[in-house]
Amino acid sequence: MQKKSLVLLILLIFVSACNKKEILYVQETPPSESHPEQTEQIDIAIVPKVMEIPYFQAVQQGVEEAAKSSGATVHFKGPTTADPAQQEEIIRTFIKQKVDVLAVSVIDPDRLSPVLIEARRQGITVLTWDADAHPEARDYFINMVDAEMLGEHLLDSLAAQIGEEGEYIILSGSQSSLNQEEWLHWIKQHNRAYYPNLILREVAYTNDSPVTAYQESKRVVKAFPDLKGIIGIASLGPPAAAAVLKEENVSNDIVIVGLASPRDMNAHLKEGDVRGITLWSPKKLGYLTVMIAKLMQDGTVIEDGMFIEDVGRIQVKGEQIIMGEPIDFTAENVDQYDF
Amino acid sequence: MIFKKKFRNLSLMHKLLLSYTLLTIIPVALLGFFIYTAYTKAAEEQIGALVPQMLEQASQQIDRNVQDVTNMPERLYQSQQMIEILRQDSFQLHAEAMQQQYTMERYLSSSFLHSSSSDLLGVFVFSKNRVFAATAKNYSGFSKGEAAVYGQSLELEKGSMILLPQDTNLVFENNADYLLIGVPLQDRENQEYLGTMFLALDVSFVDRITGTFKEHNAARIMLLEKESGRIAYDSKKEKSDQVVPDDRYPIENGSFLQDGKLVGITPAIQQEYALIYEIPTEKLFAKQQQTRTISIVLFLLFIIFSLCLYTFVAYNVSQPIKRLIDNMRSVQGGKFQQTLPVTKQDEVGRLTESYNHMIVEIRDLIQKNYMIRLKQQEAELYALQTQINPHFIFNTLETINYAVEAGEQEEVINIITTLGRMLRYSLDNGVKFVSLKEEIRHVEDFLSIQQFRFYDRLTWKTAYPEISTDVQVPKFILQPIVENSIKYGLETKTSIHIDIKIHQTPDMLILTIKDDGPGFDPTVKTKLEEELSLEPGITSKSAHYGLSNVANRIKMLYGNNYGVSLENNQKGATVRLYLPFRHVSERGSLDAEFTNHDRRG
Repeated sequence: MQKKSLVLLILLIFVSACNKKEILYVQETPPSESHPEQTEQIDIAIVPKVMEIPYFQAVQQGVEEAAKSSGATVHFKGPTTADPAQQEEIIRTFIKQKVDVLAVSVIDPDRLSPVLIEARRQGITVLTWDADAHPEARDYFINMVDAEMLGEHLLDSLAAQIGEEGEYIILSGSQSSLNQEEWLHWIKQHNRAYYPNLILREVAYTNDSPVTAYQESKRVVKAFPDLKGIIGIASLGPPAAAAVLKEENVSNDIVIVGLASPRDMNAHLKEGDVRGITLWSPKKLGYLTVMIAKLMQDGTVIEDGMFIEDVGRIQVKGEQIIMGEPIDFTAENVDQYDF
Repeated sequence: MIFKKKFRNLSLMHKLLLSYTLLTIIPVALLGFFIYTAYTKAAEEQIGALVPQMLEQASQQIDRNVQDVTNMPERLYQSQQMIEILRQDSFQLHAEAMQQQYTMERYLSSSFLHSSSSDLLGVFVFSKNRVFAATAKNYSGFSKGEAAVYGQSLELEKGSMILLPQDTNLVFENNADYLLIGVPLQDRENQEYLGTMFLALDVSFVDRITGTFKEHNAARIMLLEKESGRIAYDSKKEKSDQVVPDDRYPIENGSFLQDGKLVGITPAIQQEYALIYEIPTEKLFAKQQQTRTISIVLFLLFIIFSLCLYTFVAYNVSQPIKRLIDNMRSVQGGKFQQTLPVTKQDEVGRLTESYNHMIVEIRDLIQKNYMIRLKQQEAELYALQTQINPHFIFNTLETINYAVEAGEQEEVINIITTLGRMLRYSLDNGVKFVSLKEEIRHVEDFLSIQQFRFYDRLTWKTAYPEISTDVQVPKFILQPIVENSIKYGLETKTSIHIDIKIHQTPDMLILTIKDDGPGFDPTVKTKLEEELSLEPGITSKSAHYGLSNVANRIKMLYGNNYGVSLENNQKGATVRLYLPFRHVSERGSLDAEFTNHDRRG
């Protein structure tokens, strides 16, 4: 009888054990993707074409914003004039500093590609932004807009304002700039396809210098008396051209379209000398460049349609990252932009 | 030890039943219990592993939903006009401001509330001291004043945040529960802060996601903010203000049993919330419970059936033994009549058989002893009667009388002396055995007295070797035979001669009484011989009682190898007594043994 009660007791103990918290299964928590802890500080070097022009100053502001929000250390340094040799020097300095990412707005792809290749060989992630190098010299090119679309858009704007006929010239930055050459190519292509009465008289180059831009504007205005329009595809072009037109008092006869900082064009737009210009946000470009650099350094794969915080969705075409659409500035909205 | 003692004292049937219980029912019960436990455990573990996976999927869906809503402000960037409105500061003409308000709210309504199948209750945009709102339901609260507060905190954090209804004074009609997702709006072109968009997401979307869960209606599904323990969503809609203590959930991702409930937990929404699934185990394991009930019933049936069977078996084993015991008890009480029927050939059957044998044996032995004793007493009584036979005394006294009248003084003295000796021999009652010499002397005395009476009609002669006279023999074995010879001889003949001879073989003493009388009548002789060959003690009283009495006594004392033989010769009859040739000591022990037997009976 005692044995029986002992067995009962044991059974009771078994049964009573079921009432406690009994963990059945523990699943491994998948590592959170949102904020991988930053183990090491990354150094990002951003090299513009030149330092002291409004466009690159705006880029610099965006870069600084991005540095703040991403927590990366960002160096922003460019040549004082758009001199490839100087830019190369700066790049070499950054290579020596062993930065993690090098993002360059390339003045001269032929000259600078070798040094970028060398940087890549040393394990540095090389990006180009604003102006591309040769493909083998960089991992990604961060493009502001789609080249074809921009070229067509600029020519369309001009055509609409001058009635689809007449002579025009193009003010580009330099012949060595690959993306300006591409835009030029698409403008010419579009011209051939749709506007048989528009005639491109010349492509002039500003060499990314305000002075050259002014001189070249003056020269072409004088050289082509029947000139109806000017397309500036380097940001220094339109302001210089607008100033020249005003001096020559032909603002109403010659239409200016192109890429320029709204701040530079503010007065011209408001006074009605120029009806509209086009650009993207260089701040956003600077911001995006840093964010891309950071993401790549974190090992994230850059994908088409990816959402970048405070930038939006980006397009990826091969090794080209496209930031978005261009903005058209007019007298109405020009005040909303501070670059 | 007490148990041991108790067990030892239990009856065989109880012992068998107890052993059976210990050996069969308890192992089976334990086995069943362990199998059931293992089975339940396995089922629990299986479900325990399944629930977190299920939850994780739901959690991912919730994440996706929340993420989708968090990404919704992106739609605002697609409208340059809306961004431009937001860029404006509030210092402007009232009409213009109202115009913008209208444009913005219409845009919000069309592209946020009506364009998607989302569960948005409302969209609020706080920008530069302005509030733009578009809601699917009427609401109260959320005025400009708070706009500044939330706007600022979001501007600092630079990321989205999720607020619960308790965090703000925003209340929708019907008290719909919501998750308020705040997303900062950034001027991407200028990289400046524009304002904040709040999207109120109806938590019932969790319902839809978890609707596919197993036992959805019985389960309680909660979305819990981990840090504060507040419940954002509760499928059972219990008090939503309650705060769940931290320690209630021992793990972050997995499942456990608690208070009869299976609880699954998995992190949700950027690990800041926990999706919890609680279900009473009886709902979840209804099938297992059923199985358990059936097993228990089957087990009980098994126990009952096997107990019955075993009781039957044990009864079959113990009952014959019990019957044996009862029978032995009645034997103890002196009843030897019944033997037991042997129904089986097993050990118990054989035991019963042996027992029956024993009983029969004992019964026979008792019968035999009893009869021997009876005969003995009868014989003694007869012998006694013989000795003081009034006829004999009367005849003798008459003889003495004649002798006195005839004046034969010497003869009288002789007769009286002999008679006296005979009487003394007879009176010596305690002794059953005497020496052969004494017995011969007694028969000689008897014959002498008879001779006084019959004179020449009786002659006799005794012959015996000297050695054999010391041999012990039963008392009064010769006299009845001699008496018989005289009686029958003198009935038919005028004279008779009796010849008594004793001789011995190595192990036998043969006493021969020979007469020349008429001999035995053939029919009487056959009858007598039949009687004499029978077991001793079964004889009846007959004419030759004296003879059969002697034969019986010898047989009873010495066994069937000894006894009496009858023979008719040419002149008369010969009776031979066969006795063992034994010495005093042996006789003595035999005597003692016999006495013992006597007492025991």
